[in-house]
Amino acid sequence: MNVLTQMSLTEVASAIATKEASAEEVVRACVAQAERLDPTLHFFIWKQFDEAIAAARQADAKLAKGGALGPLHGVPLAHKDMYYMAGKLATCGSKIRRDFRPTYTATAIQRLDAAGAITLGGLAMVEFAMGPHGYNQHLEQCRNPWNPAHIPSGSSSGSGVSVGAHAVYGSLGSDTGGSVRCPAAVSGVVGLLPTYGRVSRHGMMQMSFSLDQGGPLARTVRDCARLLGVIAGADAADATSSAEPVPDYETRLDAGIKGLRIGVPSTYFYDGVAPEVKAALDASLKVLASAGAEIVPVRLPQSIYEVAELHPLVMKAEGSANHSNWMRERSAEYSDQVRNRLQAGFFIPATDYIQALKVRAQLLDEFMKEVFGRVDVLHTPMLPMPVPTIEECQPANGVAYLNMVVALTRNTKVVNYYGLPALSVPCGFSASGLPLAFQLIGRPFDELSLLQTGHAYQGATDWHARTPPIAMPRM
Amino acid sequence: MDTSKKDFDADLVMALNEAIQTVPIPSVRVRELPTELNQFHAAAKLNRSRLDFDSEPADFARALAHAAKEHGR
Repeated sequence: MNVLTQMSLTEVASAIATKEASAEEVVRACVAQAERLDPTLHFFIWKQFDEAIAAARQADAKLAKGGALGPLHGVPLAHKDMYYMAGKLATCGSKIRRDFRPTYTATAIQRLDAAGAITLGGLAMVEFAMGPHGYNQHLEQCRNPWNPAHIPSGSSSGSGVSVGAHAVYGSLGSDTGGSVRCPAAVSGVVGLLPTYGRVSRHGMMQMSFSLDQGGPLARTVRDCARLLGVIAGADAADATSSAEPVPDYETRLDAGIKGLRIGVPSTYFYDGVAPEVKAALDASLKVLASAGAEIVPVRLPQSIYEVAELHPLVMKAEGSANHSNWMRERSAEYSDQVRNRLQAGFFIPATDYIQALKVRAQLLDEFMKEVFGRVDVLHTPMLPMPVPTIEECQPANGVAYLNMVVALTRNTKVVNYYGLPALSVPCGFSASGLPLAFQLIGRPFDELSLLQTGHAYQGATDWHARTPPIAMPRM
Repeated sequence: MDTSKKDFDADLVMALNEAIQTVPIPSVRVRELPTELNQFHAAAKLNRSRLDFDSEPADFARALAHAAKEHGR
């Protein structure tokens, strides 16, 4: 029985370090899982399994010689196919970049490599990271590991599915409006959006430079803490990266949440929330209260509703500018959905766009005073509804499709505009058997409080330890 | 969001595209774009009163660091 794929990232890293398992055994277990499930779930765009096995042998040889090991020594990962690795494909989920091979490696990937991680390949994503449903006209339909008839969400679709399907132990995604957190939520794994600037974006495909941030997906909060600890911190190659000190997240994870004030809003995030989502959120608050947190009702600034409109204004203006040449010269090579999404940005007045950025600090200040003047962490639903089916998210559904797209990211996109960190944590299952999740939002650069809260929750529950039936080990 | 006053319409989008942007957009799609553009424009207009002459977008990174200190645990 393949129990290796049942381990979390930190557990398997320990197993390799103590020689309970070799890196080659671990990589081969993940390769076998990927080969079994990818033909159904379609989470890889390209694979380098032979190279990964060779790298695992080298990792084992290094371990046998002794000496210092990185915190990810021999651990197999794979990333959204928009992280540049010199000489490797980075299709960005597109036809336009189907043969693109960058000449340099993203800083975040360099840091993972230096920590000993082994990369299995490039993962499925929505074309150019533009869309929350997970559909990509250029690829086979990526599918949810809990039920292949349901969406994987996006845009980091393959990241959520590969981690949820136990084919890799962790993955980097990118998040402009929810693209790490939503795929994590629907696949029943943990997804972390770091503070804007916390993680270098050098070598990560740009979608909207004022809103983009890369972050990890993994099966436990502890796993995400380890990955963030490796990739976070200043980078001279990224002018937007922050010099704020990076705490040792993992060693401070067990500090507990006694006395932590967790805020619960009654508006915006709960507008139109489905009863079964609300029930799961209420139950999760009881668990957190039992762990010692103080649950505090909070009022949100009314301007959050304006933020929900300013976010797509900024995203579309920047995205359209970025795609300006290709949209004129290679328009036919975009999928219909992405081409349509990019068109509006060409007609946003420059003054509106600049104003939307100029008021950002003021709107953040309002949110900080109203929320983080009273509480330490804000607790909200992730998706306001149970995970929809692929059928429900078809563009042919017209207005219903557009409403679905808006609903998928309504609780996540505002966080990107504020530049705040947020964590998606699994907290149960819907009647249809699909994962539910809550979102924790924190103060700037206070990922630690989010991780401590999520870790305390996972210490008292086992939602994160459940395995999709399709991914269960075979005898 | 009050979008009752329509600043963008299909004729304006088409004229802007033909004169300035020259992006290939089918006319059926041109007719759809004003709905979205009017939502964005309404949000921008609502926030005009907040504008500070001396603020600049690049200060946002500093605003985040300041907020972390001001409201830190």
